[in-house]
Parts: sequence; C-alpha cells; structure tokens
Amino acid sequence: MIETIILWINYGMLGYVLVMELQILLLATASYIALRQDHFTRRHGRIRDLATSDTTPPITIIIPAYNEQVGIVESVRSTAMLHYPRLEIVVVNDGSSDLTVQRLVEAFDMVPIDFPFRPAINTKPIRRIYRSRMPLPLVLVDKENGGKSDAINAGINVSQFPYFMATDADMIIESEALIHAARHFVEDRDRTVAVGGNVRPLNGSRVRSGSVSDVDLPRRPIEMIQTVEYIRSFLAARPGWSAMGSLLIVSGAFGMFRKSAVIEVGGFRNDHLGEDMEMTMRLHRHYLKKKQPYRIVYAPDAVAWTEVPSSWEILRKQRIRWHRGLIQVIWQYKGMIFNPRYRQIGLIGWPVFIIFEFIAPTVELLGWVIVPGSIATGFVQAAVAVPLAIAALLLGAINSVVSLFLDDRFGYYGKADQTLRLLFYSLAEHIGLRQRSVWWRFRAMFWNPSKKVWGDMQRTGVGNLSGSPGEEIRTG
Amino acid sequence: MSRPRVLIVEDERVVSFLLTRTLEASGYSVTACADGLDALEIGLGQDFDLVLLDQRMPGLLGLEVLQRWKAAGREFPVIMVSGITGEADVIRALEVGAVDYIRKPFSIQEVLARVKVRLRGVAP
Repeated sequence: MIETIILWINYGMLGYVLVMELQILLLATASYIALRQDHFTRRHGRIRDLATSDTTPPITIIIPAYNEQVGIVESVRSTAMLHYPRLEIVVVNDGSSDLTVQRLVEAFDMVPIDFPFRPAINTKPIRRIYRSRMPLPLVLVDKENGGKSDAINAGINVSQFPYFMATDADMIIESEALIHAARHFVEDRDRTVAVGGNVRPLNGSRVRSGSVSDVDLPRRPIEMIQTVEYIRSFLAARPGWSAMGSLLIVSGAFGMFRKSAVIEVGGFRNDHLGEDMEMTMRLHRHYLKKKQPYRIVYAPDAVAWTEVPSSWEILRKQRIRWHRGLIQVIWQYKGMIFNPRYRQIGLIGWPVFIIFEFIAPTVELLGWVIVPGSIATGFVQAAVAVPLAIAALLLGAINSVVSLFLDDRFGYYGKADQTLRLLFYSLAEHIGLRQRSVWWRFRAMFWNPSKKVWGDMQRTGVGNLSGSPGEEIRTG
Repeated sequence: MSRPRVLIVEDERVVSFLLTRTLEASGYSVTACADGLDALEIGLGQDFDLVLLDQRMPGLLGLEVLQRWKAAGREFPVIMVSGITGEADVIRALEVGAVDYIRKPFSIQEVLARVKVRLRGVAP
C-alpha cells in the first residue's frame, strides 16, 4: 500500500514537471504565431507615420525616483531624446534623502511653479512642483516618501496627457520603443488600456550618452543565465499570453497605460511588492466584471534595457521579493481562480500561472529530494524515474532553445559565438540557477508580509554606466 | 539652392538635440557645438546663415564669443539664446551685434519661428 502511494507521488512529481515543460512549449508555439502576425502588421503598418503624426497620442513618462542622484540627470536626458512626437516627463522625487532634487534643478534650470491640479488618486503630500526653464517638457514633483506606487500615483495626478508610461530611473529605453508601444493605442483606441514592453538585460552591452550603442552578451555566468531567462519569459511566454488575452504582467519597468483606466481602478497600490502585476490583475478583473471589452497587450518590439543583478546575494533577494509579490497577488485575486465570470483569465491564464509559477518550486524541490530518495531506498526503480527526470530537464532545455529561436528575429545577438554562448547557457540554466531559484522561491513562502521594501537592488546609476558624454564604458 | 546652414551653440545636450532635430526637420542644415571655445573656432572657420548662441557656456561666454567673431569680421546673424539676467544683457548683446535675443523660458517652436523670420528669403 505505502509502496504504491510513494510510487505515485514520484510519478506525480515527474509528471507535473513534464506537463509544466509541455505547457511552456505550447505557449512558445502560440508566441511564435503571435510574433509572426505582429511582424506582419508591423511591416505593413505605419510606424514611420506614427513618429510624426498628430494622431499619435501624447504620453507622460513618469519616473519615480528615490535616492537616484547618481543617474537621474542622465536618465532624464535620454528620456527627453526618445523618438516620439509629444512627450512630457514627470520625475517624482519620493522623499529622497540625497541630492536627487538639487541635481535636477541645477542641470535643467528648474524653478518652483504654482501648479493647480485636482488629485485623482490620494498620495502623500506634495511639497513642491518644479518646471524646467529650458525648452524641455520636464516637470519635477517633490513629495514626501510614500513608496514607488505612491510616487507613480502622484505623477499620474500631475500628468497632463491621457496616456502615461511608468518606468524606472535606471532603465534605458530604445529610441523607437515608445512608438512601438503607442501603436497599440492608435490601432485600437477604444479597447486598449495597457501595453507592456520587452525588458532585456543591459549587462554586457555598451552604453553611450544614455543609450545602448552596442548590444552584446554579458560575460559573467550569473548574468548570462538571466539573459536566457528574460528571453524565455519575454519572447516565449508573453506574446502567447498576450494573444490569448491573458497577459497577467505589464512590467513596472516598461508599462504604458490609459490614464483614465488606472484612475478608474484607484491607482497603484502601495501594499504590494509586485505592484505592476497587481495593477494588471486589477484591470483585468475590473473590465471582465463590467463585461466591458478591453485589451491588455504585450509589445515585443518596445524594448527597454535594465541592469540585472550580478551577485548571487542580490539576485536571491530579488527573486524572493518577486515570489512574495506573487503570493500577495494570488491571495488578493484568489476569487478569480476557476471563476467563469473572468473568462479566459479565470479559467486558463490565472490557474495555469498559479499552478506553474507558484506551486512549481515546492513540487520541484520535493522532487529533487523524494525522487532520488525513493530510488536509493528501492521504492522506485531508477530505470523508470531517471529517464522521466531526464526527459523533463531535456524538455526544459528544448524550451530555452526554442525561445532563443524566437528571439533571433530581433537580431540582437546574431554572431556565431553569441549564439553558441546563448545555447550553452540555455542548457546550463537548468543545472544551477533553476535549482537555486526553486530553493529561493520555496524559502520566500515563509515570511512576514508586514515588512515594507522599496527595492534592494543596489543601483550604480545610468549616469555611472555612461560616464561623461561621448565616453564609453563597458558594463557588467 | 542648398539648405540654409544654422550653427547651434548650446551646452545642454538635450536642448541642443531637440533644437537640432526640430530645425533639421524644417529643412535646415544644422551644426551643433557645446563649448564657447569650440564655437569660436567653428565660427571663425565656417560660414553660416544663422547662429543660435547660448550665453552661459563652459569655455567662453556667448557674449565674448560674439565679440571675438565681430572683431574678426564675421558677419553672420547671431541670435543670443539665454536670459537669466535682466535687460542690460539684452542691450549689451544687441550693441555688440546680435540681431535678436531669446529669453528663457522659451519653447523650441518659438526658436523655430524666430529662425524662420531671420531666414526669410533664404530657402526653405
């Protein structure tokens, strides 16, 4: 009896991992179809026209800044130079204890202004609002500390345009990215409420005057593994989910929103670690509940680059934070699970996400312990279990390779040695990071949710990376 | 007829970039530099149909650059772009030989309009 139970537990675990990998492969196939269609639309669309057209929606870029004195000036510069017809930049200083405000005031000749506005979302008090005397559409909101979400909300209150994009001060946005993202608002103005961009690891690339001048792969294994991971998430998974109307995360690092929609659902929440996913889920729930047609889409060609952790310690903290954020969101939106009222999200997207993102670490971790244990104690025959485990790992590796293939059309890493390195790390990811990540995410489940975090990642700042104008520094 | 040549002397990279982009989109051929000494050298060596000259810059002040150009007999029209100070500076710049003065805060479109006025008769 016990033997049979143990046997089936083993098969259950191995089967689970196999199904998970199969699901990823299916998703990658859906992504492939979506990317092809998107590519077709893009080629026959009017991207060039959008760059100069009067119908292109004006966008407010909101940059929340907490102790960003190192990189904030360079970040504003590169944002102001993006290729887009009508932009407004709102930097929100979230009660920094450093010279973030002073740096901006000096660099851009900013002066305090009287700026009457009616706050649509409640935030911590605003101390002062500055405007640049240079011919730059730049506004600085100096407010008391309230967290990243609170800062974005203050930016929304002050913004003048009907669409906004929230980003991080250390993101490097590609010149055409805004146009690629805004295209979706133009194509379906009535229904589109949010567009998520494609976030890529910056490590290894050359940065010059606040923009990526030479894309290359990072050298350190820890960074390479993340590169492979990001490619899988942003190219093999998100296009597929997006095409199925089930994009559950619009990245906080690159998310463009219809302002009225975000205000309608009450703005970003401060009590969530993953405020970007929480907002995306809230929008889904809101519109599905109201039975109002809407779209939340992913734009793979809207690219922004960010530095990913280069030490295991910081990566560990980041992953634990992400997983805890996920737990909060799952708890918040548990009512949507298998609820037919929420259609494709309730029945497919959300349950699949929970089963394979949230539960996976526990099953996989137990699997690494129980399966070898069962083999050692003779409950399970190695001849059966080992091939299954290898099949699961192989399938995982195939998935990584498939996503590399999907990424190839973007042409960032075209050289032979780059392809080989990507291939190598696609396989290596499954022996190393995967297990560590599983352990971290398992550990993340035991915590005290009352702790508040603004973000543990140590910032070197875009200003640091780019050096003085014209100078080149290799990052990573 | 070739495109009118405009020299932009402005030390803030973003402003310089936005001015360049706008003027180029309007059909002008733009040279940009960010330093007073560079500006002096470029102005002594090349001819322009119009110069936009920032007053506050590293190297040399705009007014000093203008004085030296005039002393060297350079005759291209110069619009001073600046204005943290009062009317004395405006008058001084006009006396030295600037054809116009744009005060802060100004908009890119305003600059474009003034450039067009100055270059009326010169294509585009």
